[in-house]
Amino acid sequence: MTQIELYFLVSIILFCIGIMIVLIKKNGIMILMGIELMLNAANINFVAFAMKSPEAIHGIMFSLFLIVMAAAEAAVALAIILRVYRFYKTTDVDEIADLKG
Amino acid sequence: MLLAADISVYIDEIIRSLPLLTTEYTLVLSIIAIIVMDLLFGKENPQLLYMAATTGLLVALIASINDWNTVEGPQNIFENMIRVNRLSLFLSILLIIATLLTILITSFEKPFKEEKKGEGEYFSLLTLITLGSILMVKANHFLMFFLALETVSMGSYLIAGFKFDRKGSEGAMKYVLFGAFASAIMLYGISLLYGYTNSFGFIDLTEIAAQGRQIDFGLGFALIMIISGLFFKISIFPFHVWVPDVYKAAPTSITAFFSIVPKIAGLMMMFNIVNRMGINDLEISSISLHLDEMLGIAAIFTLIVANFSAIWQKSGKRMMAYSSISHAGFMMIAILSLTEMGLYALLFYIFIYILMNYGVFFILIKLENATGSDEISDFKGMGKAAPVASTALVILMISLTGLPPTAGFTAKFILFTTVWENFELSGQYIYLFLLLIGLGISVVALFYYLRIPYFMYFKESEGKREPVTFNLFELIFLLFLTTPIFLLFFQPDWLFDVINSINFASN
Repeated sequence: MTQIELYFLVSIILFCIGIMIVLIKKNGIMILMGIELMLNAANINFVAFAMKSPEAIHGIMFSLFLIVMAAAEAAVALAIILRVYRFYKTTDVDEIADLKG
Repeated sequence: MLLAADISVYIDEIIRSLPLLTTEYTLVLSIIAIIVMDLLFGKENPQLLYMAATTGLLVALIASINDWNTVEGPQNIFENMIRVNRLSLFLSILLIIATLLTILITSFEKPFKEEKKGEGEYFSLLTLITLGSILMVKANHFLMFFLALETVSMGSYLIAGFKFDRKGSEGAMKYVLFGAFASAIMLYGISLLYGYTNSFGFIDLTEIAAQGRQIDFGLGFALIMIISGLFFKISIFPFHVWVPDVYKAAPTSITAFFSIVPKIAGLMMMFNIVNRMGINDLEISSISLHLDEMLGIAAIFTLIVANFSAIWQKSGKRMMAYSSISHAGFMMIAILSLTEMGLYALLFYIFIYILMNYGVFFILIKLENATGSDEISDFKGMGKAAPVASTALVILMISLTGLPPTAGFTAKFILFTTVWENFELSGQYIYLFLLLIGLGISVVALFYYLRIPYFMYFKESEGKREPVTFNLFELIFLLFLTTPIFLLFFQPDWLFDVINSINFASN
């Protein structure tokens, strides 16, 4: 295995763990953590593939932007989940089901 | 190592690029202006914020129209990050007009008149989403595209909860969890694509593909992941489940906004990716899946699921949410077209859809104000109490179904002609299926679109209805939205002359 393949393996494992968390967990904040894992898996990919790319700076720049974006997204999502908690006194996504039809 | 000569090249590039983005600067400035004005005197006179947002958008509109008149060929600026051409400028104009219409119908909505809560944030977020959408249609690079998409998404997550009640927050939470999941999947797809092509540009994949336009499973999987993220934004089956809940929970004017602005941006991105990267031609060899067939099947299922779910809806807003999914399906058909007529059909459809959609939501807001709910059964007896609104609603609903004499018919007619041409051209049966399903679904659509007028005219209300009156301004606004629907049926050339000046080949 080359070095890039090893990195890629790590990123795939992280991505799958992230998807599993999103699909299985019921707590809104846990789901958010799963999504963060998926974002970081992509981040590893960008840096790893940049090693073999002729224009390495592009991949690295993308991952830098991604880190900032992930932080912003977490802030927005946490704010919304906090708001939900105030109304429902829970963050369990199964119990938050007023909207039907 | 950076040399001095390199730096001067970069500076030249920036100086060359700057004048082509005046629309975006205007929008950024107006966002800052709205926030500052909200802090200084938002409490005393919130009217100023309306005026600031409208002025900013009007100036941006003028800047876009000015660019539209001057830009001839496509221009790649900022090191190929952004591509300005007549197509993206036309769409920028449409996006800004849609946002202006949103601000107008917001001013009729009751909660915003009474509560006076968060108006500064509301208008700055609206402008921000418009800015993101405009950058999205102009993006020429996956980094630019992804950042623009996230700008749109994050603004949308926040603005979806602007009713500040229990259900509003629930809708926002569902939206943010689904949305972040979809963009994480899309991002992983982009990273895989980068691994395969070593580039973030929209490069033509048919050159990379082997003989017979075949690609291996990994690249195909990456493309499917990117397309899924876009499907979420445009609300195509199977990524449409969030739409009814979010649309129902959001303020009504935001529902109208959601079904237009982020959707146009996503559709155009889809168009770019499908055409520039040649996805229409590719086949994943190991599972022998043609990507154009996959997109076509997704469009067919979107049409079927959306229309049959819409029949059972009790709430007018939920029904309109399913209607917007169904229209996204129709626009998806136009994207799959192989000829340039597809693009023209898509643009015509988008323009008509903006008019119809804002008309319907404006009337829904009026009815909501009168009855206090958006349940269809609560609109009983409105035909007598609000004759103007009911007549206009019948016209708009006929146009949404796609019957003559309205422009909705013209839009669907052009679309189906394009699909038939494609079938004759390529002989692929997917186009025939698209045509048949599209025609059949239009009949189903008649049932649910005419349900609201049916309740308004043929059911008597229990109590006495207060008459719903329109002031002069509202009447003019309604006329402004409904007359083009007739005019463009009889004279579609007026719009087509504009659309035809977009050169397909140079995009």
